[in-house]
Amino acid sequence: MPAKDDQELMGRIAAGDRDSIAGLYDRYAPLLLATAVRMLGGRREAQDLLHDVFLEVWHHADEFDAARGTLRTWLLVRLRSRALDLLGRAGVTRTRPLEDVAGIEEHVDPRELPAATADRIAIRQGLEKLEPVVREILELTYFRDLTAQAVADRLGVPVGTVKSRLVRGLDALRALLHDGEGSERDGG
Amino acid sequence: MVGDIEMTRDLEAWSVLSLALQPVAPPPELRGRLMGSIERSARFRPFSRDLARWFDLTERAARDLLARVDDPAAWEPGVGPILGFMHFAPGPRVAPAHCGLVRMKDRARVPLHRHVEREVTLVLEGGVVDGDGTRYGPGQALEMPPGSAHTLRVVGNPEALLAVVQADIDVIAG
Repeated sequence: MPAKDDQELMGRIAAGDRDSIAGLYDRYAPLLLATAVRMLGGRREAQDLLHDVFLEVWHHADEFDAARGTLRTWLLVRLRSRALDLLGRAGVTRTRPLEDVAGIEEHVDPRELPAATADRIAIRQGLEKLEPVVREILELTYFRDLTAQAVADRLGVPVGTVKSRLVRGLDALRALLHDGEGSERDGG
Repeated sequence: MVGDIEMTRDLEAWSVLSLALQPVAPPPELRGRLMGSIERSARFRPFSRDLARWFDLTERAARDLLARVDDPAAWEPGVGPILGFMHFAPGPRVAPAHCGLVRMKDRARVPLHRHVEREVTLVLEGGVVDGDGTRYGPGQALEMPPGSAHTLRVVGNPEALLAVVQADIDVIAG
């Protein structure tokens, strides 16, 4: 969806249009829920988080500025920030380890899965071409908010190695983003 | 947000990691729950600007405050006709006065009293009726300057929700 349309959509939500927030939810909830499950591990916690994020969007839709980034990323930033807050609280722990990469999909009823788009398939194929350690560094940084030092400790490699591979990994992500720009159409 | 990684400069690129995940369709009841929450919170949306103005808050802070009304954990239990109280910090023009949202029982009466300091009562739900018979409904504010005196009656169904600047009063008659 063009940035202008996203701005208009968020403007309607800010004005109190329930149909627009419902439409936004229908479009982005599957992407956000996948990220929440990946970060928190538990589906119940992830669903509660999704609810709270969209309620926050309802209250703060006027803060979205399409000139500063995509709506998709604006939503993901909010979700990620809240997920990290939850993970940082002593009482909340992941119910499934991050390393269990395939675990989420194995535990989801296939009927619940939206069809994979060509863009997503291309992105996944692109990520699979990365060295496994680069992918792991990226994921530990994004989904767990680990510092380069913490990633280095966890993987048993020098922090300089983590940083250099992070740079390489980010370059790859940028390239994939450029290649898959059409993925915004269905919320990811 | 992120330790020593400059994530904020590359948010769009990082989002690729989310795009690579297999989307998970939320259960239908979650959508219903969300829309219910939105519907409940929407009843206060028209008042966020007034709340911000009277209590010198940013509109964001006012909206955040109103979003907490339906969270039972945000309330302290009240006494007598006061069913609950939620303190909040006003902006610098109103501070250091103590401010809060207060839930009051229908038909609660405040006897004749004189205000030592300025008091503001902004009605969010239900209403209040001043001693002179003037009724203040949702979105309307009753401002009492220092030295002024009045009685007050609460009208709620079954309770009223008010935003108040808590000020010292001298009760004149019980």
